[in-house]
Amino acid sequence: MATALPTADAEVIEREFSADVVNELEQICSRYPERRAALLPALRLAEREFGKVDLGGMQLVAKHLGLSPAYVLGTVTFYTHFRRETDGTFVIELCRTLPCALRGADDFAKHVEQKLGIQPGETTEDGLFTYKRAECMAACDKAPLVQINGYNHELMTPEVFDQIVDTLRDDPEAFDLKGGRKTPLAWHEPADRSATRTLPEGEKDYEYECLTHEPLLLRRCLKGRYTTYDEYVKDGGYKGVKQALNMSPADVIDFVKKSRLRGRGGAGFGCGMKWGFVPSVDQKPGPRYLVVNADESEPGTFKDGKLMEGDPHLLFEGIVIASHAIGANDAYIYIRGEMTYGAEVLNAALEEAYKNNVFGPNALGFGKRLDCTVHRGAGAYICGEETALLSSLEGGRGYPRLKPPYPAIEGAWRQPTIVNNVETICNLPLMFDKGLDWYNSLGTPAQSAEEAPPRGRMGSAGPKIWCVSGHVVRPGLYDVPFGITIRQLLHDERFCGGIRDGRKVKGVVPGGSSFQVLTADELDVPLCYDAVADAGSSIGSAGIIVMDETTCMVNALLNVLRFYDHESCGQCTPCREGSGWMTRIVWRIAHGLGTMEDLDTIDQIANQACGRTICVLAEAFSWPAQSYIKKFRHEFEALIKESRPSPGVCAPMLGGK
Amino acid sequence: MSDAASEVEAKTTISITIDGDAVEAQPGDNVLQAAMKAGKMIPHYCWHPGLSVAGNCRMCLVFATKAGPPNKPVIACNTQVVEGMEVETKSDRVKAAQEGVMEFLLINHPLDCPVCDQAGECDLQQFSYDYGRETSPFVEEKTQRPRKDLGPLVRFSGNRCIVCTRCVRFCDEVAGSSELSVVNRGEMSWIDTFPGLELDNPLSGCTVDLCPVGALLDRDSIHTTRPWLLRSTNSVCGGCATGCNVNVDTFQDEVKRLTPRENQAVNRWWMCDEGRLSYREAHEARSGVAIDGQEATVLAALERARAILGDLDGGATVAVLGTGFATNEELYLLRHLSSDGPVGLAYRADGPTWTGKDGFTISADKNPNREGARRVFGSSDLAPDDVQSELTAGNVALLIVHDAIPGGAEWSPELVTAAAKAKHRIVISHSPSPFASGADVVFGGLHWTEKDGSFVNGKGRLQRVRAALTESGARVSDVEVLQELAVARGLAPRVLSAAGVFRKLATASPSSFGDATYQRAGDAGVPLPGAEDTVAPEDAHSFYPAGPKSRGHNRANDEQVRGSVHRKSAAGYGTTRGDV
Repeated sequence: MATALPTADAEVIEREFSADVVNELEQICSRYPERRAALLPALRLAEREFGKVDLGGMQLVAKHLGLSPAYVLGTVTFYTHFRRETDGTFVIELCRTLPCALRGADDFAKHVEQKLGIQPGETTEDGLFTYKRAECMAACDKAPLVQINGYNHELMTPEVFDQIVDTLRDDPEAFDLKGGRKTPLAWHEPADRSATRTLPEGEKDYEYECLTHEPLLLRRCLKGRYTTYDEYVKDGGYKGVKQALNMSPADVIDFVKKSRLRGRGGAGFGCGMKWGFVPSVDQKPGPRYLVVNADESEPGTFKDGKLMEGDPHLLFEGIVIASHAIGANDAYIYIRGEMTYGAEVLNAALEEAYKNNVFGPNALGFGKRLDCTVHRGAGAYICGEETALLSSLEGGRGYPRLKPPYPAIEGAWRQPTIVNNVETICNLPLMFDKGLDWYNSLGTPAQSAEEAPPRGRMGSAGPKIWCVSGHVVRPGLYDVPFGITIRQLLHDERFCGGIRDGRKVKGVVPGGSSFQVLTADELDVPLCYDAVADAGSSIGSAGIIVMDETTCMVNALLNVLRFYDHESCGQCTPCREGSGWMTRIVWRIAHGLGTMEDLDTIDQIANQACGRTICVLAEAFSWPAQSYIKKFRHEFEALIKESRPSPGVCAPMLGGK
Repeated sequence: MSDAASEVEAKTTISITIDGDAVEAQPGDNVLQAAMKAGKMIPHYCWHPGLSVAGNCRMCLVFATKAGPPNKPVIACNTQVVEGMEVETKSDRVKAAQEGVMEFLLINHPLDCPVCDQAGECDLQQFSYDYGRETSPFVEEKTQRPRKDLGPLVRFSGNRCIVCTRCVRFCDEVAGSSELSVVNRGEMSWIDTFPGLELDNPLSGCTVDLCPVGALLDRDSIHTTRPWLLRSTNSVCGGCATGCNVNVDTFQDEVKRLTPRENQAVNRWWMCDEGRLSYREAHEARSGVAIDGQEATVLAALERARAILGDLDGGATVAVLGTGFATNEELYLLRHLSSDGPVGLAYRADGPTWTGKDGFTISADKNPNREGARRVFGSSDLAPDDVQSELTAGNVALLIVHDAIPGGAEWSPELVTAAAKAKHRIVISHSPSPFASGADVVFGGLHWTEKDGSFVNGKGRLQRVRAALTESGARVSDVEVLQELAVARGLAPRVLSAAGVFRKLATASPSSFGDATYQRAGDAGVPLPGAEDTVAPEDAHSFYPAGPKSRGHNRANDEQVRGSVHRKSAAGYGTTRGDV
């Protein structure tokens, strides 16, 4: 566990905030209906003021917010991203999760350990560097990746790392770490539209569509800095929202229903339908809340961070539309704690938005108050689950909640709340600007009940961003419509450019590491909600992790399981106990200590955990385990039979660029 | 406050079936409640009727129609009953779910039952037996979590903790002190306090009762005995006027612990720490038996007392001194013995009052029976001044001092001096008494854990105290001694049981005691005429007894072993020793 508990005899230092900080804290409190909700921001204040979150800081925060110290302790120890008492000046966090491991993070970790002379969780003797093993940082295309004091340093090489460490060792203030190290986004250049083809009537050539597709969501995200309000407006921004605000909320919801927009966060639930669940004010009086889920943490997924860092006003415009539809006066953007830079961008852009009356007492001149607040998480994957996110937003441990009641009926502060993913919200301005026909023409069509019994299918409409990581030549974000096949996305020169070093694909996880793996024989599946589900997996959050023939699937599974074991909130028995048990078994197999019975035990654990917990984290570790073993059983059996350890996630690839 | 009361108000019921049996459920009930009320056990750890629903242990998984996808089990504790719902609790697939959860709960559990104080009254043990599989393929190393004292009364064994959060919710929702929190996450979660702060609220011991496993144990009674060797007696705490219903658990004629017994009209499922430890007073310095200051046998002392009473003139003045710790029966006999003579009553000084977030109250009145004294004598404010002036005037032929307060009442020195002017003096005292010196006869009085009788709590509820300890050779019950005196004086024909005395009392004071009888009071108590508390005995017990350590199950000498209580539930709730 990354969180170390202070010892019982730890000295509690009396701390005090300055008057300015108290004012700042009160300002923060005023953004929430309850003071408790300001707990995570208040702890960030303590972290900023005192350089760490220690017992004294916790007591101080508890006092200011009227909470018990034990409650604050319980909350702090749930999260991994606060600076601890033992942390050095520079906290170096190295992502070791599957997409990074596939691109050499394990080897890089060895280098880091050697360079710093410490093991994960330790601090160098000079108190300068603390090295931590971290989980997915949502920059999977930029592996190996380290965070130094909260900022991403992408595409690290041993040379660059040594240079950074040596420089900081000589002079800790040698350079500003703010912003981190950024590298350009991999991108596809659309093919020339003029090369027209004739097709039989009613047919759609997805290949052609995709190749010629102009980026829609990401088009303003390529600058390496964020698109300002003026730039956004000049580029046609804040037009869709005008359309939406001229419609009644019921019409907006209807419009979104007709658009067939499905949630981009993982479950793929109809966005308009979700909004429709919000009860009328007669049924349930009181405020409504819009919460944007920007806690992007599913390994392999890195689209939301890029969207927010590149085009925050697109998100804000969507927020205004969604708030109008559900009658919310307060919107919260819950951004994951690791996205320090993203939160800074959002806050800067938010200031612009307030100045330009996008938010405020009379938002966009429609006579309605709308406030938007950026709420930073603190390092917990589970907070991406919408009810856990609400628990965390309210200032608690990120425990998923029992459903029913669903958030649309009883969410944040027991009021109707809609939680939508960043990409989902970013779809709204385009949809309202360009109209339903245009929106519906993108992607795959709906199917009626006759075509797809028993209930018909929504199809997959609208623009979509695919996050490709792992062993492809050009991992990155690809803004191409639904319907493109995995093979095309991976192998086309305009997209990922094939597998590195001309190798073959072994497995592809299409929706983030929690979903079932597909084999090389299943690459012709079109990437859309229904087809991938038919193939026994899911497009989830569109995190496509590609593993080539050199990958050891046992070690890949071990990596995935370690992640979910680390991130299980510990609330429900089957997930709390099952994730650790399964991880330990696969660890044994990967170290040549497995037995054939272990494979049955893993299946048994999965069956005992799935569907028996509050949220789907039990599925998130069970599905990969079951599918890896089913589809690559021979690899597990080989290690067991020969009693030999796994060569590593992908030994031959390690070290190579 | 009472579940029972709100149920009476609801007129309509909801028809569901549980394993094919028709069950009438109350609207708003969850499936777990409906099943348990119908006497059907659904195993559970985290759910408790006095706390919010956490839904984290997953032990109560059942299949139910009209509750989401048909092939997905639901937790009974968070599934509202719906008309026509069909619930499965015993099918193979439910059994598989229960076995799975049991297996997960046990993999990191140390399985140290042989040295665990909870063994014998442990839900984890019992449900393993009832719902678990015999074997598990688990061969990995278990997680290690700390063991520490969380507070003065509570010890925590992290490895045994199943993170059900009952204790955390109790401190948040009932005690209101929030000293506990789950720390860390995943399988390294455990319960802890903030470093330097203790679990030290007035009800902290209740976390031990609530803990369904051996993670929280009572430091006071830890490693002193095994639960199955304890003999449990349903009684009422003598610590204050709240009158919490308790089990007095004894081993080899010594009280080992007090645990709360559910009573919705009085204490719900809780009791305070002070009351929990009040049994210790029975072990402190006790008064012996003496004649003229010389140690004597009880028989000789009774002989001498009878002689004194027999020699008294018919019209001689008998003065009595009593206390708020005397039972109604003792107070009645004192009144009877005094005829119209002067009466003085003394009380233990008031202490702090405290009210929990759910309304549970620790009374400021630290006497268990001030209200009883009011009902017996017509007033509870009978200061010993009358007695003192009569004594000083030399009018008193016999002074009977009955001091049941552990440690003794705070009698004024003037009163003690004046007592010397009485011609005879008989003292019955729990603790060594200032009146003993110069007394003709001294009897050692009983502690409330040793007595049969009744108290009336501050809200006017008549409740039974029962003797958990057999009287040792040196003592005879106060009621018996007082009756011997009454017989000798010719006021009564023979010595009766406490129940007989109460019948006489009730007959003599119908306006104060109505038609109350021991039978009617039973284990739940009965409101007396004019009482603030009006909950009938049959409504005072919900379907859910207090925590596993106090359910009175699993004890070899009990009629009802735990299993039958679980299986029969509502029907199985009951006494552990005879109710009259």
